[in-house]
Amino acid sequence: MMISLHRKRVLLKAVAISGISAAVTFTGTANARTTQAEIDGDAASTQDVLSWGMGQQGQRYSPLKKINTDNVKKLVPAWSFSFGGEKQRGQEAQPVIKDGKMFVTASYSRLYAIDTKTGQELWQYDHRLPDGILPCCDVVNRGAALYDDLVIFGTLDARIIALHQDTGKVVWRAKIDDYKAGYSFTAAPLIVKDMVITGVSGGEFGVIGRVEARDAKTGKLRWIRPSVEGHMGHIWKGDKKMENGITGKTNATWPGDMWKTGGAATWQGGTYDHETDLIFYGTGNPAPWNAHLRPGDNLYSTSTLAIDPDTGKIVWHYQYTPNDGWDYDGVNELVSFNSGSDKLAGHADRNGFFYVLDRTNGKLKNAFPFVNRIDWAKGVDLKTGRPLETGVRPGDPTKSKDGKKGDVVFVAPSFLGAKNWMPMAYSPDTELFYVPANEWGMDLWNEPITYKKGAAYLGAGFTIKPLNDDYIGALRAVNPKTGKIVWEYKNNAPLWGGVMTTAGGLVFTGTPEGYLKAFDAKTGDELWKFQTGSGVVGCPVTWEQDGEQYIAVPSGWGGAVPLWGGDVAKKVKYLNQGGSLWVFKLSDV
Amino acid sequence: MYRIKDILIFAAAVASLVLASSAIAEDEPSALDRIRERGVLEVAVYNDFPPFSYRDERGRIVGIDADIAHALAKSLGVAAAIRAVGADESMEDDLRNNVWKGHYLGGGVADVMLHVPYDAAFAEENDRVIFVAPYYREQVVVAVEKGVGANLDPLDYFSHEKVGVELDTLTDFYLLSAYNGKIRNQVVHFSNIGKAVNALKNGEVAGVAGPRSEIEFALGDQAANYAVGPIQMPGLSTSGWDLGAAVKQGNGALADAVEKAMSQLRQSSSLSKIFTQYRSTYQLPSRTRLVRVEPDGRISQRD
Repeated sequence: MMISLHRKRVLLKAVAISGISAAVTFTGTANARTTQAEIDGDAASTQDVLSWGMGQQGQRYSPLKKINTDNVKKLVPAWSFSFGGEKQRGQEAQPVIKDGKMFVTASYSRLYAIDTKTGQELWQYDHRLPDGILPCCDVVNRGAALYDDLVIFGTLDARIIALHQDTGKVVWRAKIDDYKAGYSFTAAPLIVKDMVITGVSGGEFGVIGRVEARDAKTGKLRWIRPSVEGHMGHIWKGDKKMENGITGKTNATWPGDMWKTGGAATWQGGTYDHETDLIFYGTGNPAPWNAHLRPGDNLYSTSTLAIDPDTGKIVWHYQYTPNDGWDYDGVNELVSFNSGSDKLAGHADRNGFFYVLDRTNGKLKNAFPFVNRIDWAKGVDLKTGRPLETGVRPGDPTKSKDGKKGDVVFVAPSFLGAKNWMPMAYSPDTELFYVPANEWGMDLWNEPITYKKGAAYLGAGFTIKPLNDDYIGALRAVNPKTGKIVWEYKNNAPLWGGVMTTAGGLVFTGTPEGYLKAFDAKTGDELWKFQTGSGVVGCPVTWEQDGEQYIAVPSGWGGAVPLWGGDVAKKVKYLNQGGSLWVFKLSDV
Repeated sequence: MYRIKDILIFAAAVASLVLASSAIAEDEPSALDRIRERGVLEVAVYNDFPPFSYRDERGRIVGIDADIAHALAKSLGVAAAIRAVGADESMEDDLRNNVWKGHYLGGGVADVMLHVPYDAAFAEENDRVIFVAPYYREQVVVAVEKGVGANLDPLDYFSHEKVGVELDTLTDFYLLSAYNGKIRNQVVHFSNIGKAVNALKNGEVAGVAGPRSEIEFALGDQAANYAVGPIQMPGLSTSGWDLGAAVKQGNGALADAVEKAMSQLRQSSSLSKIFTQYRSTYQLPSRTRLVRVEPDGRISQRD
């Protein structure tokens, strides 16, 4: 661990002078503790941002309206902060804010504490990463969680670290799993009932996904719920680890022993709904990639799991892409919302469909496309909840007789998804979801002779291709009741950043071209933009301080697109990397 | 990834290189010149990959590929620095990370990478590197207890007996799909061949299928109790592949030197001795160029 040295000295000095308590020296706010009740009320509170999703339901909606459609044009920078060093790449974090301190993570598992009034750094934590990590999809981090006097985040070497909010010193740390076996952790943790809830990243190495709950104060495990059928869950009673029932039913939807290495990584963050008292966690694609080898639905891959936080048991599940053959992870967030007395939830999947579920039982209420082209299915049967497949699936490479490249199948969306990790927003005012979508497809073909670790291998080739000449990204306002796209904003490069909406009638999101943009939530009119100097793939937040409304967003181009994007990567090659945080407020003049 | 010793060697090498380059302000020296000047050939091998490259009980990287790396370096008149690397998702990734570009996390590239497929079609798709010095032919085999039957048809046998494989390999995918999935439920997955062979020794599986060298090494002193033979894989275009070395495109002199050194190792039976030392049967690569070492040490080649 490395705290920036001069800060460390200042802190030590401060402690020495006060003699009794370091808290005294910290502008009188260090006594403030983030309670579970505050976290549960995060969506309604305006002075702080305590959780991923600006509220555990994940709506990314703020009741603040000082900045609104009338005055957003007067938004100007208040301060900017550089993440520094030589380490740049994708900055995908959502900052959290409490009592005049902002905590924001950056690439390479770094975390910064910043004075929200001045933009000055309070401390910095650089996680020491071991040699030999091979992260699949850039060295990103999506954010931290606040609890009590702790700020908690995950690292590329699959650790979870709790730092003291005042000092940046490690209070506890826990190992999620072995990074050498392909595990890492990049999502923002979720705090539920005094527990920190996490998953695991690393879906490409045959790892098994799971959701874990730890005591947020100590890091001690409370329960583990594997995401693939056949695996035993565990719960701790005191220090005693006890079996807690198998996930699903062994071999119900998997052949042979393939469930043992079935994938379904839980690599994105979860959400929590206090009304139903359920944790919603998404799962990734099943392994191996060749779907022909694993006939069956392969539960619970490409699904949302609803987990009881007290028991660690799955209450219900909904699977988006049974027997996935296109690498459509189901990890995207499930966002709770109410419609009259109906407790519903929305999910925009990689596979191109927007799903509305009854969040009390996981029953499908509505499903419709939110992108213009979907090749793999023509719809979703609302009675059975299953996709109506078209039969456009990649062929089986083991069936190639001549060892030649197989037929090329074009299928949309691409495996980077109609929507990837970047979180959408929901406004209870407009009753619309704001979905950062991308219009792209992929060529898929079998390569009977490829090589892996120096050995012949049966691989698949793919190239991602844009569907339109003039845009890939499309921010879409989606009506969950009617399935209608109310408005859209087209963007040349793929959208890769989070969305936020406010009671001021605004929708904010960033673009890889470097802009943070504000749109009219009702019409989609672009009302304001600011060039941050590098691509914006982070998540904007807003809060109120000394009677003024502020907006913050990380800037720094990167993520999976430049690494995996095929033809698209060529299109975004000119974009420069960066690493900074921008904060805005209304101009005084 | 580097051991302290390697870093020291590099520091010394870099220092000497700086001196040399300030003295000679001529054309940029070739990769081979630079290697000879710093006295170190850096060779990338896979980590945790017995019998080719793995750490012994003292933490040293040993194995067939490690020994070949040292022998190649010796032929070039330099020391070998072994860089043990993790396998990425595909060979193309490994070549990019270790031979021609370097991983985006940093660390640069090695001079030579071993255990690289020597295959014309693959080479055509990967023109950033030069493929040279084929040294071994790997082959998919099956190991079963001796006495199971002289005319064993493995695919038929494994429709009712369990077979161990390494997860996410050619053998794994082939057996899962063979006979339209008839033996799918008998395939037992392990994270490496060593564990699969242990399961065979313990009677948990009736056979193990995978690369010959890995299986033979894992059988170890119990090899006499098992029959090891090629597995017929109908419908699959290959059940064996040649392995060689890769150097970055543009480093032609280095490529030639590695080719020549490897040929000499092969001709002098050094390669087969190394394989024997690791209890693996040496198999000549199928695409070996016909090479003869002349009495004066000169290499002559006939295609």
